[in-house]
Amino acid sequence: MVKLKITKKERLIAYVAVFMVVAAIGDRLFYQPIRDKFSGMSKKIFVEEKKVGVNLRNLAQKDAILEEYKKLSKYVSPIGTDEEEISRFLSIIEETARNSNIYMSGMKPQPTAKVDFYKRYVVELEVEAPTERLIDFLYRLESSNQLINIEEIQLSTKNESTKTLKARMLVARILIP
Amino acid sequence: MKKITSFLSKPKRVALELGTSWVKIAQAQLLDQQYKIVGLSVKRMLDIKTTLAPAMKQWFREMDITGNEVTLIIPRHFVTIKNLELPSTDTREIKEIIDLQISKQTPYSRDEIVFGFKVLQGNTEGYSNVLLAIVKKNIIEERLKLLRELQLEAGCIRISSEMAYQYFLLFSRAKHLKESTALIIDIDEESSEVFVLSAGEPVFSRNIFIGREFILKNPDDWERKFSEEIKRLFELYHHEGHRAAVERVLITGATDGLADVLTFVRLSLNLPVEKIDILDIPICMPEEASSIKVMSRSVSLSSVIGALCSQEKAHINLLPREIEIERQVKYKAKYLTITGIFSVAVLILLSALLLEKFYTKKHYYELLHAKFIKSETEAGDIESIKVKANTIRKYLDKKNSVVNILQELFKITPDQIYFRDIHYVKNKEVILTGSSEAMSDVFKFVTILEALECFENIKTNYATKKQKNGKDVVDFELICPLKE
Repeated sequence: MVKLKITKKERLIAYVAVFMVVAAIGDRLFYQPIRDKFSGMSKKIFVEEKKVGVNLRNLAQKDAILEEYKKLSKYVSPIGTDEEEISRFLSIIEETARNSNIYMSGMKPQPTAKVDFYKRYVVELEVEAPTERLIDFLYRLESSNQLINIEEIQLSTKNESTKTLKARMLVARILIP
Repeated sequence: MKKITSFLSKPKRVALELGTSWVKIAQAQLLDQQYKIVGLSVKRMLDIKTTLAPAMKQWFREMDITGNEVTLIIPRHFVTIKNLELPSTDTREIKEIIDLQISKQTPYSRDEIVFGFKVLQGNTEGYSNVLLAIVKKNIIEERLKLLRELQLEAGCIRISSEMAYQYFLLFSRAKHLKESTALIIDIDEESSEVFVLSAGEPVFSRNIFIGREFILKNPDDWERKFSEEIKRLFELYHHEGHRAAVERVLITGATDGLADVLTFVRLSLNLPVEKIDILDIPICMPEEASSIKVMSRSVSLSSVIGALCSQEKAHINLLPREIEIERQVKYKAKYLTITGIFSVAVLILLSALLLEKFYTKKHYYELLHAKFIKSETEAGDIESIKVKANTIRKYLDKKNSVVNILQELFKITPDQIYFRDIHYVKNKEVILTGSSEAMSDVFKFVTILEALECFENIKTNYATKKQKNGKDVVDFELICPLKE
């Protein structure tokens, strides 16, 4: 049998190599799976702690939240069908326009969107009116006892000589059941 | 229980010399960092009536010898010792050379012998003086068989000469031997070992068959025979190439009542002669040494005491190679088993610790989850109410409503600025497009806008000068992001 003669340096290199291979195998087979298991559990605990924290905070603030909600409950009402609600919304807009004495050249309902727990109705309007009346119209819309917002508006002058403004806007109303 | 007490007690060593007519046993214990003799016994083979093994078993029991390993000593007369000069100074190479040439040094075949060697000091350049010891394998095997019957193992097999040399090193007056060349005569009952120490090393060793018994039984003839043997030894000593002249003689062993020998040697060799009594070495003697004195009258105890008490490392081990390999394999297997058991134990312990930690975490998670489930129904309702309230509040918040923004704009816009287009996107931005007479008016207007609370980071998309109806006009577009 041929006996291999290896120097001290070669032996050291061999030991280091063997150690590294064993360490790599140990890392893959044991260390990483155990670490993943532990970090997974730590993450689950973190999330659960947050959730429990939120719940406890809500329970602690229960009375204050209910009190606050009571004040806002007039904005919560049962919702009818989309058609009913859209026509109701359009009539609110028309009535406001009439009261503000402005001319509506276009009124186009947009598709209804269900957002989380509420419904959002949007109508695109095109109106022409002097500045003051237009502002009055916008103010009346937003200060009605409905949850109505002007989402977007583009104002332009009809011509430089007159004070009449031309506006194209998206008016949104939300309904919370 | 015996194992536990033997483990807890101080370590012991046992040496056994099996000669032709005597058996010598000694036991030493480590006391104050020095092995001291705690048991010593010699028996004449003829006095053993039964077979050797059971008699020795009984003997060991009587001496309360514990442990399972002994140092086996082979008497010098069983061993052939040769002085060689080999062309290397590397011990490994010397071993290889001896391995190759051993069959030339003895009439026996390679398989019939066991050998060991010691490299001596004072080598010439590139060469080494080597003391080669050869012994017939059957002599070793006989003794190993006996040990097996006694359920013992030979830790090592030594030559009595080397052990006697180690015994001399224990002797406090032996220090001066390092500087001189001395002839040492260790008188035993049937024979005597004679060796020469030069510069503190045994360089020559022979056995002569003149012992205490012969001297006592032949009062008229022993002097002549002794003289002849010594003369022959000196011739051999010089023949082997040793040049250093012997300066003194030391006589030890069973010397009690042999005053004539000392006088005869002094007169015949014309050299100073010293007698070393075994009790001159108190370092390894028990307090009560009278029994040793009685025993040392018949036989030499140098080798067994030297084997146990010396702190010098012995060089020649005649343990057959196959037994050594077998023992190494056994040791490695044992070592691997222990390492394996230890590693498994460590792994189990670590796993247990990790599992304990993991299950503590898991238990905590389960507690949290149970708490969450318990609070979820009521807290969930409250959360949905809270979300609804927040949504309503957000819708009712008119901070950045179009009416407010337009009112602010109309209030602050100077007369020089004319808007053509205002584009408002809720919670995002207001884009103002228009014209002015001068570029500076536009930038002044930007500064005014920036002062408003509702805008931040106002950007001028463009501001370009144009000719309109023969007048200079600056067209601009400003992007005004709404603050949250």
